Amino acid sequence: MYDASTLFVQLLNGLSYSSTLFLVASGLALIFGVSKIVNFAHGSFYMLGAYIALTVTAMLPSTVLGFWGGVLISALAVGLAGCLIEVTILRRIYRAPEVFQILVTFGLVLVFQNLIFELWGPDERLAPRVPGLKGVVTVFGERIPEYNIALIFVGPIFLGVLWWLTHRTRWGRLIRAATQDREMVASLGVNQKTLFTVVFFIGTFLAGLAGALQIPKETANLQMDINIVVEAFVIVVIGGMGSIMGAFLAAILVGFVNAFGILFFPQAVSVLIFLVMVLILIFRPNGLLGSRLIAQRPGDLSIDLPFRLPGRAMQYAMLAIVIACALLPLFAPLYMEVVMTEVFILAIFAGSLHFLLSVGGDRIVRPCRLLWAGVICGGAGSDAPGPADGAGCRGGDARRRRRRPAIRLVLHPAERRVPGDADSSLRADPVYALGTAGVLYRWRQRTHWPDASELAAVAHKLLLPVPGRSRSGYLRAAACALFAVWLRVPVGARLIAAFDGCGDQRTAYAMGGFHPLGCFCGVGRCVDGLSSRVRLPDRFFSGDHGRCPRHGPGGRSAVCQWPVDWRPGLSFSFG
Amino acid sequence: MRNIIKKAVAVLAMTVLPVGLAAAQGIRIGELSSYSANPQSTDSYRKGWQLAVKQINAAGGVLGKPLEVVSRDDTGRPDAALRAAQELIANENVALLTGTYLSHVAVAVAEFAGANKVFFLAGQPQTDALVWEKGNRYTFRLRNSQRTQVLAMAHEAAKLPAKRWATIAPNYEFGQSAVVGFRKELQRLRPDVEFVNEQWPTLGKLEAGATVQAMIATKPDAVFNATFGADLAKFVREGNMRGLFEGRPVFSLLTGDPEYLEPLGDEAPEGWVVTGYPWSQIDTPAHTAFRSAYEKAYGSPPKIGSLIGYIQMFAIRAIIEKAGSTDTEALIAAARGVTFDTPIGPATFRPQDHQSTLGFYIGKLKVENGVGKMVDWKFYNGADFQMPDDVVKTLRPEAATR
Repeated sequence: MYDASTLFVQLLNGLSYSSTLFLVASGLALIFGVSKIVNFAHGSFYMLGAYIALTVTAMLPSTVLGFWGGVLISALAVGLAGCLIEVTILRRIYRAPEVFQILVTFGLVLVFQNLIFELWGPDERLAPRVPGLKGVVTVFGERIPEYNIALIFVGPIFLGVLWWLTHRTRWGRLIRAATQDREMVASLGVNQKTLFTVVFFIGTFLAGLAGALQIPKETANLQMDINIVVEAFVIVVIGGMGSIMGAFLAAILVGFVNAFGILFFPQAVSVLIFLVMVLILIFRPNGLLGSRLIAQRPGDLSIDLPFRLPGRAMQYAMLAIVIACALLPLFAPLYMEVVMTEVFILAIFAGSLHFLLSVGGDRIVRPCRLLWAGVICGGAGSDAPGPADGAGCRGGDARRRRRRPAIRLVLHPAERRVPGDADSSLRADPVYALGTAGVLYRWRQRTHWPDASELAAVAHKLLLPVPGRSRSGYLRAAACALFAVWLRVPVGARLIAAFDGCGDQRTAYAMGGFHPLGCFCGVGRCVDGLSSRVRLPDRFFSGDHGRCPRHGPGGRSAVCQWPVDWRPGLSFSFG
Repeated sequence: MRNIIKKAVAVLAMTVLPVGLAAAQGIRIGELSSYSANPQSTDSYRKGWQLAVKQINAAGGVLGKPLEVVSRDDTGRPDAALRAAQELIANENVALLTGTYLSHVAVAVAEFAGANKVFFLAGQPQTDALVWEKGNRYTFRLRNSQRTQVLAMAHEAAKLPAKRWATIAPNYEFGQSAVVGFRKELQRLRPDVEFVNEQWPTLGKLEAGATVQAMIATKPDAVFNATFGADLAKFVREGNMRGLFEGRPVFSLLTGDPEYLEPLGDEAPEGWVVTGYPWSQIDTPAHTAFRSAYEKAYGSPPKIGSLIGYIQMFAIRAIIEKAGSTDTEALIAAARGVTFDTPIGPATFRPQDHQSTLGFYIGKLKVENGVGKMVDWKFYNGADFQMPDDVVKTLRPEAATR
């Protein structure tokens, strides 16, 4: 269909693209590997690198040295900014649950966006062509810009540098050790603070470098952060979370898929990468070069007990809140009603999310966290039911898997590869969720499915009163929210118990999700509560449902307590 | 605990008190646009309408009262836009809503306006659905619809000998409807034309090198482009270097708008046929006055957003003055068929679909003194490029025209 020269040139195009991707993704993988932070702000460092490079290269003389020197200076500046962020902000949240970390890094995304908008303004800027590499090379009669050829070499060069750093220096050994087991490295007396800061410096340096190298190819613009970070996550996931060599292979793969996808299936190019990702993960659940993860946080794999039933006082307090909500329209101004309606709508959404989390059990929690990040950034919001339903249903051990519907097996063939091993599935789950979410998201872009915000708009239409005319909308919304709360206590618990047959752990997670406190504690905490293990009190089961052969007679009696507060972890930094 | 109570009281006070303070002195207009999501395009738009409000109030306001615009950021999301609209109506007592930038946000606000019986004048969005399928009797639209531009382009393209076309467009509503509209019209005029390659990059994620190479490989005679912004810059640079545009005419939407042309600098692709806004060369007295006032106020030349924002406020003035009040029914009756002056000539809101007859420009790109500009451009009067009335009737809900 196409002649050999086109194919070969397309190969070079793919390699050139993958260099940029590798630089961004390797930094992300490094940071995730060591600090376990899902750094949503990584794209922001990339964007910052591009903008700084625009300014710096414009100030330096337009020579070969001027350009490459400027690129290096920009990357260093971004690395320093990364250090600053790590020391002032991220250091304080290493022990917080993932949801909060994602929230913080997403907050950083907004901060960077506004900062760059203030400093550089809204206009898009394109740098001049690179001195010394302005021309084109003719390969088999096709023209390729010299700069693209140069970029092909940047990726492997930095792969070499990183390999040397991590395999031939003491410091690199520490990094690899910390990637495998942070606690152990700490107990051996290694100063983790420095280690984390240096890792964050290198990671952000690489992102800044990638951004700086991009300016001769595209305009620096305020959307480039979000645009790159999704791609970078895909690569990290394909390569194996935390693996640099994996990131390199994945970057090459994505580069090729992209280049040849454009040639052969231009209609599907946006979905193709995600399809490849899912395909790879079916055969390599941990990514190309990924390996097992072990717990890094107290809440990850340990047993703690996040919830208890409300006491009498709490029940009265809740009743008072309900009455106050119902009476509010009588004396509050109209807009207050609008705001409260909004709150109720959010409560209903939160309730629905919890419903999914609960039925799915513990394994669904992690994908949902990532999806929640998607919700936060306005992305794959309404997709949450889709991927969460299909992707998160990995049964942790063989006993529980017997009740799994067949369709889940179809969606999850990889599951068969990790029987009885709860740890190994930790890594694969977000991965599947991301993949499925990605495919659905792209599909939605093509077909114009409503997204979360449009669904919210529909909810508005159904629930919001015509201003100044009736209060029925407010009451409708309040009633729905109350229903969501109610659903979670008696109905929810019974439903879930029936689902499961007996009070095993999954039921208990469900309890966390359906607990009325969830409405008031906020989704984040509730989700976090779900990831921990808790047993359900007897009174939620009747008859045979309550007898659980696995746990013995006393097995399901609950020891519950208030939500375990992670905030003490904020006051002192890790290590 | 005391602190918490103090905070709670403060928060309550902040939410409750301002409501009583909003007094109605002037005519209040509710305005919303995607200021934080798309600063590139909405920043100049805001400057445009602010200038207009200043001028209107300096000339005595509307119906003897000053125009007060309450502006909100819709963050590019329909739900945020609805919340803002709700807040504007409930809290700020605005007489009407206007603005919006993204098409799907505009459609959501239009539905809100229909459900709540509020007058809504959409400014920049170009989607055809706003006046046709999803149109309602409370919604009017100022900027020319996308279909008019694409039809005019296709008529120009049909004059070329080119038979093999390649297209590239961002993969969402705007790009898809542009390519489909162009292809249908061109093939209707020239049945011998075939489309040999269609590229659909995700918005903002064009991988330009590989895409340009793939287009070259299919050896097209001509190219139709609907990418803009960051994608356009990548596409142009790679296309220039790899020789995609050599000997191939290119028809391109939006590329002549200053927002997208300026970042290209001296690499603006010469000879492209583009829609756009040749701000420096429109020398009618009305436009010269607008341009110099804008440059004096902000120190930078106007962009297409500035022009639309500016016209938007004058259109509102014309509507309110004709209506004689800010009653919604009076506004609708007045807006149908109202004629108002703009820097680029008078325009009217068509009674049959609430679309204004604002004109647009098509010309060729040329680089002069290191910047791209439109040359040989022609003004297309919006009134001449509308769908026939009987077609409009089938597309638009009947209740919307009552």
